[in-house]
Amino acid sequence: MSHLMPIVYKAETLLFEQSRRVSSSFRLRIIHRFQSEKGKCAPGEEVFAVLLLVGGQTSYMPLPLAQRLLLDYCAKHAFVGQSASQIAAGMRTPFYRRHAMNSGEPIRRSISRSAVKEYVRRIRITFSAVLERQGITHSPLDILASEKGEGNEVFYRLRIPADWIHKGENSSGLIFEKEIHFPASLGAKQDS
Amino acid sequence: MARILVVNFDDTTTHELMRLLRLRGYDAEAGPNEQANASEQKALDPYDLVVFDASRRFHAIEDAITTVHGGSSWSRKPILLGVMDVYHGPQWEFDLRKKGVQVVYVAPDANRL
Repeated sequence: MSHLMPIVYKAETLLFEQSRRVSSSFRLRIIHRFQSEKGKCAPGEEVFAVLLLVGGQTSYMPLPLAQRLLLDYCAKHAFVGQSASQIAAGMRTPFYRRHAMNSGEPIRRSISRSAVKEYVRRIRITFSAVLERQGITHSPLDILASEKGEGNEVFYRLRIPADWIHKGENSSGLIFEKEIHFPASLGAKQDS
Repeated sequence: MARILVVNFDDTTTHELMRLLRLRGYDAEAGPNEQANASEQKALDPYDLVVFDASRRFHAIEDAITTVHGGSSWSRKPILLGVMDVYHGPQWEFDLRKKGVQVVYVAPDANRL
């Protein structure tokens, strides 16, 4: 064994601890509205807003529609890196195709493979601005990461957990809210 | 993939460290090392971790830290991992710690301590 291995092990430990610190202190909160059925996240809803929670602070992320949808998708598949093609394909599922249909006024945006990279870049800019406003020096690359595969493909992965709050109206016209925590593995099921 | 910068080591150690880090799947780059580019100033904030030889005179990393990117303006704060046998206690280390940068030391070989 090389005499330099203790350095490599130490570097590995430090990087692991750092990534664990980030994922435990940051959280996304995504608000869906126009829920049709209480307790169920289904196509027809709108990805209304995205909030970043750091410690006790909550910050609104002013993201345009395409970026809200992309972040919602990445959050549902958090901790799994996906290429631009996979993301574009995954966003053709009913949840995104029928976005906001429950309102009677569909607000749709299709995401192409070539646009993913640019949207990721813009999301990171928004993360940077929000963190800077909170006085936190932290790279958005640690939140929405790009990971190189064996070939030229780049995989995008959200490294922080997320939860969803649903706002909607029930049959009596009363507004209700329901907080739903998606395990990452169930994310795909929400679209079907 | 984490980005690691290897700074201030002799050429043999630099190559060996980079080889080991790359084998573990890290994106390792060589920064200012030995004589050839010792005066080069390297921006440190694109990296997740900077491994540097703290036993040698480390003008390269010192200049990079104190003059070019003084810590507070970094877009991210890399962890600084110093490799050393003897602790020098440089002044910049305390300044950086105050700015929230993690500075850690490790001995290259426990038998040599």
